[in-house]
Amino acid sequence: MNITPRQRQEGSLERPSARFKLPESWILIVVIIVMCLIIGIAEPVFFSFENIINIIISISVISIVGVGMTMVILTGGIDVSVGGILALSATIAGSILQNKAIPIAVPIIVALVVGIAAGAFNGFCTAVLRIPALIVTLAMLSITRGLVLIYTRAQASYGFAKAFLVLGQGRILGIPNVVYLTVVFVAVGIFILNMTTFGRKIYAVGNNQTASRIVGIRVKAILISIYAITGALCAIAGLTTISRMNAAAAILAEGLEFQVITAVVIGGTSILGGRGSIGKTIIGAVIVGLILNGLQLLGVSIYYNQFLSGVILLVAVMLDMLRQRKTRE
Amino acid sequence: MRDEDCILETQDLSKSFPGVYALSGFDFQLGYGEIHGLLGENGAGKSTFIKLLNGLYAPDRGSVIVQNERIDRPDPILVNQKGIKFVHQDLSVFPYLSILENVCMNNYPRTRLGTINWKKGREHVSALLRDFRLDIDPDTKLTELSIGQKQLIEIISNVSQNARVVVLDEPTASLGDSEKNKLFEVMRSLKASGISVIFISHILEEVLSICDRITVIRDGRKVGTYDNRDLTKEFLIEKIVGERIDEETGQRSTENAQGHPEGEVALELSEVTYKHLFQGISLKVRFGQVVGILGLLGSGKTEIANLCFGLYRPPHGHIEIRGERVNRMTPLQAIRSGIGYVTEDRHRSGIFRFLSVTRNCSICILESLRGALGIVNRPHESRLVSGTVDSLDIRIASPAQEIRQLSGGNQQKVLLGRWLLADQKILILDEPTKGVDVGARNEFYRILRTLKEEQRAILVLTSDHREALAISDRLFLLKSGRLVEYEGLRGATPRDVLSRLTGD
Repeated sequence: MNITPRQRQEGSLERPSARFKLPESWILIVVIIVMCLIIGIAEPVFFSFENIINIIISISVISIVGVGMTMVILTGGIDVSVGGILALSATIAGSILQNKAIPIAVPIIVALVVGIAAGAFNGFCTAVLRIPALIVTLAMLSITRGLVLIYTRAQASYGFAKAFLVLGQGRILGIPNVVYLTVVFVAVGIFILNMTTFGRKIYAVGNNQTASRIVGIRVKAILISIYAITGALCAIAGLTTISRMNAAAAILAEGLEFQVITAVVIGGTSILGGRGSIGKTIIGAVIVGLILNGLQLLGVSIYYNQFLSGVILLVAVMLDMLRQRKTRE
Repeated sequence: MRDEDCILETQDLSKSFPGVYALSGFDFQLGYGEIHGLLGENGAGKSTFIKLLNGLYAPDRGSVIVQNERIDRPDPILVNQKGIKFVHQDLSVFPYLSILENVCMNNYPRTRLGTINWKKGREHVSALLRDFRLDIDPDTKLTELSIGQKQLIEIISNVSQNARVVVLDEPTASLGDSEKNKLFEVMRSLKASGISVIFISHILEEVLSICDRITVIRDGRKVGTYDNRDLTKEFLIEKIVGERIDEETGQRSTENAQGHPEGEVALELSEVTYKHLFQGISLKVRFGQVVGILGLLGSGKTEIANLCFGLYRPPHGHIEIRGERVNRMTPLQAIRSGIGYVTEDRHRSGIFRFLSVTRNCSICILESLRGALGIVNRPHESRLVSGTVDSLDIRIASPAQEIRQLSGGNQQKVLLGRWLLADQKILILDEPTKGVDVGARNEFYRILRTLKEEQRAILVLTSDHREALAISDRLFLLKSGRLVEYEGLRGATPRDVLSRLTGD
């Protein structure tokens, strides 16, 4: 286009020097350090190698599912069915694994299919039927948990093939495979959100769905995809869990949705959509993992878990709202 | 003006954003019962001033003084209690509630039992509506009203809540002439009852016709405050823009009719109907031509635009693009056919608020920026975007800046730029200069002229008759659901156009 730009009025404004901007999450990193110190002083076993591995493993499930949940929340949606999808895909895989004659690729693929199907169904109801995501996924939570009970009749499956156990129990160079897996999925997630056109479209949809439609983004396809991706990630997290425990029980991942959503919110991704990142979710996952581990080490009865989960989520959302107020200018 | 005569004053009010001072050392005095106009280009600082006044932003320096009482940290509730009311461009009414509920919102009359006295409320609201000669039933839900009517309701409901100062931010942008006159009547009666008005508008004639004093703001600083005695438009324009601009150059030179041969038909509507809004509309837009559709609020302009872009499907009639009939148009198809659409409401359907200028601008060409594994080619992206920023003269501190920090006019340029980056040859612009000032508007018109010379086809929908005259090669009036061509566009004056639009 050949348009001569208007004469800019240079020098008529003083420009205040751009201040050095601290990364927004610095305060959370300080919180993490402080928490480690507090728990460590109260229970020095916190710093033991085995405990650190425990923490990392619990963070890994939240992180893997958190990759998908971040994308969902970025578009202004929510998925409270992740625990259920994980349980369903994992228990179905578990029952297939009981039959050691079947190659382990089969239960893995079946789990993935179940996860993707459940997720895609969530996405379809939200995007095409326009039912609010909260309602759809709440229903899905009940449905999946219910199906788990129907399917297993509350019987756990256990005793899986050695080859399968490598996933959850094996180590390479002293570090559990689960960790490597988590790093891979998180890295891929970050890559997709930051670097690809798909990631750009996710942010666009989260910022303004109508405008996204107008610029030619297939909003429905994007939404269905991210819920499906979340479902798939639940299945993967489920497989690592049952591999680690060498058993699949009906109460798998009870309350996972709380932990994941809390991690996303604490990390700084806005619950209203449009801004945030997976990196922030990982920081949130670390904090959640530390809280869970801390409570365990300090001997807090597990009966408190549900209560505390709710309290922490509420506090996290309140902090998020305060943060929003500050950045509204 | 001496301090005791001021109901509202600001001293050295300043606010900066990363890299830029939005408002610097702003001293302002508002007298009792005064209608005070605030004029300035887009990005000059008017919106920042308003947001500082109502407490949405905290000032870096300076203070706001109401009746000699200094307020260090204005917040919306405090400011409201002090009687300073704001009526914004984006209305803050309760759309799903009735007029009665809206007007009474903060002070419902109570019965002795403490419940709401609906009867009294209804009497009060009916009286108010009668005073302002608005013949509407108080139980009407606001969603059923036109934008102009909603605005008047918002103004009168503010007025009925002990206002001392009413700040009107571009109130006439969505009003038809009779509604504008009503608005001015209202402003005059406010003045008569001792209420002061700050009137922000970029329409000079209006400001000159109604204001007692006028303050001009430019680049975040006050240029001056002038008594409205023998003020001329040219004087004000010079103050606003800082250089001599003849407003006529923005208007169409009527001698310069379409000398060049008519281009191919880019977009054609035939006998299109949409619900109760319009019937049997036919229209041709050719390459190398600007077609204007002039219609008042609620006339169905935006629906025509949405239709051309595939957002609605007409039950009757059809659309042709470059001579080919399109049966089930969707936005994706429209884009593939080379159409770009800048919508009327950039907040609702235009900008991606928290994303950068770069990402807002490149959103239409993502596929062409896509490399292996779907990765976006960032260096290429930033080159293309900075080219567009330069050629459209978009004022930004940096391309990584969040688009919500830009002024309205600059945001509109980004939205236009995103389609130009995609090199769309057919452009539909719905109220492209809504809420944009004189200087930026003339820039837009220049841009449109250049786009026309590049043989693009441009359809502009507007409610501003001056704008329609200034830019259209062919003009259509949308009245009572019918599209009528304005014959004899050559040599027409704004008054002619306006009377043809509002007449018979």
